[in-house]
Amino acid sequence: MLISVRFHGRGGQGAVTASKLLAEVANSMGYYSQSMPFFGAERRGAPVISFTRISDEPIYEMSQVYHPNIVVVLDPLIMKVVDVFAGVKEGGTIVANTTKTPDEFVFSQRYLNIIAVDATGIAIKNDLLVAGLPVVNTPMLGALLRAQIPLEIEVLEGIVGKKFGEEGEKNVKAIREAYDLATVKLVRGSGKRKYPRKKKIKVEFPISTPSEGVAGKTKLWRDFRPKIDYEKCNNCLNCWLHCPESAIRLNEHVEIDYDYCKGCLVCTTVCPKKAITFEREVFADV
Amino acid sequence: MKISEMEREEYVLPGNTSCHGCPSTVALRTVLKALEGNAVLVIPACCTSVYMGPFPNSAINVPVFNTAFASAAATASGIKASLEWQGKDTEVVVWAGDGGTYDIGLQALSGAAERGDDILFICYNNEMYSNTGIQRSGATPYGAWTTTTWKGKREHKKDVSELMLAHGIPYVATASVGYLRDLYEKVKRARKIRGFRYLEILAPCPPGWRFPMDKTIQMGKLAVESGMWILFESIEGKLRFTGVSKSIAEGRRKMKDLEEYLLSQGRFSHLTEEEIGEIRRYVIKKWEKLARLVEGEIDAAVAKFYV
Amino acid sequence: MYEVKILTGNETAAYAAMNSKARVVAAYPITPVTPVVETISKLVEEGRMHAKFIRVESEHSAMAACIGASAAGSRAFTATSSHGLAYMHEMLHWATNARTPIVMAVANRAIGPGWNIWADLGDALSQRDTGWIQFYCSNNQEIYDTIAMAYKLAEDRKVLLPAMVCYDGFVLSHTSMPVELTEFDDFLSEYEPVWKLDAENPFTHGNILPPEDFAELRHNIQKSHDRALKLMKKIEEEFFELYGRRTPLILEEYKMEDAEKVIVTMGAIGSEAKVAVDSLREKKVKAGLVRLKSFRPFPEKELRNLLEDKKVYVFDRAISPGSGGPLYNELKSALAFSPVKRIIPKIVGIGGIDVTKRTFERAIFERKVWIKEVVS
Ligand SMILES: Cc1ncc(C[n+]2csc(CCOP(=O)(O)OP(=O)(O)O)c2C)c(N)n1
Ligand code: SF4
Ligand code: SF4
Ligand code: SF4
Ligand SMILES: [Mg+2]
Repeated sequence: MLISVRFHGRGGQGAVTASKLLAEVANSMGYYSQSMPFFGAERRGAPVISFTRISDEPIYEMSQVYHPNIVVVLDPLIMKVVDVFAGVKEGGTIVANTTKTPDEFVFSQRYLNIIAVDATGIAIKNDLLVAGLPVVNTPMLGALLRAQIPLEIEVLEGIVGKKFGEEGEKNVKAIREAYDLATVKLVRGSGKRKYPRKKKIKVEFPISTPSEGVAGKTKLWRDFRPKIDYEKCNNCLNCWLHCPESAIRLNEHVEIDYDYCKGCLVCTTVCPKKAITFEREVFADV
Repeated sequence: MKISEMEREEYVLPGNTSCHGCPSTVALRTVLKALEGNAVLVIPACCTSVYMGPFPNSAINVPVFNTAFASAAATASGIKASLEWQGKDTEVVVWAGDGGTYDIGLQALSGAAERGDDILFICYNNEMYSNTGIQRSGATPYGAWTTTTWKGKREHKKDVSELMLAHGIPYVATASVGYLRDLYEKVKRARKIRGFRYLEILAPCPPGWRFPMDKTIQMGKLAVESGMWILFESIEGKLRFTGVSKSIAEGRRKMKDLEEYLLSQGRFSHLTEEEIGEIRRYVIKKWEKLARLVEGEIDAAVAKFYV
Repeated sequence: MYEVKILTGNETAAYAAMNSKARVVAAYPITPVTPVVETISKLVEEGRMHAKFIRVESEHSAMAACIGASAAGSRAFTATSSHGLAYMHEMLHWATNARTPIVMAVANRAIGPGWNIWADLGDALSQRDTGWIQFYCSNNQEIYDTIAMAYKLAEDRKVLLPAMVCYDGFVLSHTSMPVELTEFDDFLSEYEPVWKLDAENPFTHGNILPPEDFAELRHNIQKSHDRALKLMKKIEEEFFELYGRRTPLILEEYKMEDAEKVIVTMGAIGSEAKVAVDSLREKKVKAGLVRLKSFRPFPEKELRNLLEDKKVYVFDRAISPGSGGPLYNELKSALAFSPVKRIIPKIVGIGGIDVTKRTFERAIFERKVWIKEVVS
């Protein structure tokens, strides 16, 4: 038996911690386990992956997981930039933090088990917040245990309860809730798997060309959405001057480029007219 | 200078990989505007080497040469020599973190300054090694938490801007991300001067200093208003305070309480009264030292506020 | 048009840099290479050498400045030795991946402690994995020619690698001999970079290179070394046609036609070895010599062809502790599957022990690996 799990999240969401916790649970139940994070060179907010392997025999693989049995998606937005279904074994499992139902997922395998859970909602309900942002890694592990995996929720609860000190109780509650509330369903996909080929670039010199979006459309890093009230705005350009992302464009008047704005909200603090407000970002199409 | 008169072209392109509220991008963006893009940037290992993004693209729209951590100034000297040989008047600008300036880069910096090579060396000082995940540097202030000073740093920072003054170079100035127009104007003035020029920008970093991501600019202002960071400019050996620091020095403005600055950052949240007192003493000494270097009338009682 | 002058190896290197039209020099003094730095400084100040000379504060900075200058489009030169070369180590790697075709003179010297200023190839050999082309010279004329040839090779579109031209400290660096100071106008024009830092073309050089792209770059650098080996023969020919001097870049053979026992070595002792071969032949030993000039790229095939069926004595003036002579080890693996009779390691001349023809003879007649005294 070798079960491999791939976690997808964004920097700061705890994907790496979740992957390690899972390995700990397996270990304390007598399995061999391994947790391996992959670090890109990005800063907070960028996509992050981590892997866990669980086996009843010693694990010798030191490479990343390319054909996981289970994929855990901590951040619903990540699906827009990363192919979370890539390489997942036929009949494997996707555990997604989502408000969608399993049937709404589209993929190219013939069959996958979809475990859908609103981990963000559960985190908010249980007051699992750090710097105002919901922490979903522990409830996602709860939902994960509904998959074909020989691990027991009590063991996970025990480890988390001990590890997180004062926050332990909240986390344990969230884990149990996610476990209970998750919807599990075998869903049919298109069955037309394609294997994308990467184009090789000849690298003679290590030279790069200036371009926007070296990290993609960084709107996906946005938890808050700034909004300019043009009634109040007197076009003083302070927001433009202070935007760390060069995401405020100068046309007739200042305009936020919502493709790239990361939602740092610096602009809201420098506007002398208090013309920039913000709200939680909700992407309509996710 | 009015904001509307500033260069509109963007040289730090959106969609880069810096953190939310990054002080380095906002400062670099301002600097490159002031240089109107006519610059070759030399960048040693630091956050900027990362947030410009990976091959085959780059978020910086002027020529950039990435170099090893210790050798920014020397690399710039070589580039400048070549450009001079070719008869080109491109400004060669080093953009280094405090690690690449205060610590491992200090020898090359001092060498280039002493040789008087025609370079604009800019340090964005976020008071720690942020690229490797928040370790102390020679620029980290007393008391600050980092991952190599878990109980707070036990030593005060060294002061490289003072060291640069001692090198007798034609331009030394400090700036803060809290005052971008001042930064812009300083770069413009530095650009007009030949020889080795040093500019240091205080760069409050939300993840490293532990404050909310939207407060980068406020923190840059508070540092100056509380006297912790002093704005000055020295041209051809004539030193003057600038901006808010000038108002403070001339007694026209009261310093804000240092605690307001310190305690709004997670890295200082553990400080005891005693430790805050230690920082106060350091700040007073620093003001007095600088005031002595300034020509003309200065309110000698800059330290009044604290007593 | 040229003059013949009696010059030390160091002076020769300085003149070679001047006549190769190096336009930016950044260097730092260290025994025994200091006179290169001094001579260039003088040549520049007297207006004879048309170049910018940056008087850096360290070797790390010297190499950094050369890399910057080369990236900005200038032919760059530096010289160092021993501790200075070791101090440069990080930037040596940088120059390779940056594809900056810098040429550097290295006066080989031991590395301390204890302080030892004398000849030992260990300083340069311990930089063998930095990606630099490495030539080891055996007389001053060769130093002169090789510096110009190294630029020609390094700057070729198919190569674009930095190159070091090494010569034994004191033994060559401070020994005077006649050198034909050929002007290289027909051979080398001003440096024309394929790419350079230029405000009009805002490229970024050297940002993050993801694993697969990094592997591409490294593979390309390996291929460049392979191509350099081929190009060396062409450059040797071109140089010979222009100036009538056979200056080898890959290797030099001596009395190899009927040789049975072959000395393989590098550097100044490769010159002494010729005398040893003659002396051995007088004693009816069918001796021969292969003096290796290019250690990187390592001319595996050429060596294999030459050393088939021979008894090979490898003389290393360097030691890689825990492994043995660096040249011995490389040669052993190169000859692994060829019908060589035997390959025998010898360690000589460490820390500047003088190496005479008798050193070679004794080493060949005795079984000892190490010769730790002067055999006079
Ligand atoms: C010789 C060397 N040692 C260590 C490192 C690792 N390193 C890279 S960046 C960095 C810290 C940079 O700090 P700073 O200059 O303050 O820039 P910041 O990351 O804060 O932007 C370190 C230690 C390196 N790249 N090279
Ligand atoms: S929220 Fe931040 S990134 Fe977005 S426009 Fe405002 S300052 Fe720029
Ligand atoms: S800072 Fe406020 S008032 Fe000024 S341009 Fe921006 S939105 Fe308008
Ligand atoms: S760690 Fe600080 S300086 Fe570095 S990219 Fe993030 S915000 Fe900018
Ligand atoms: Mg720093």
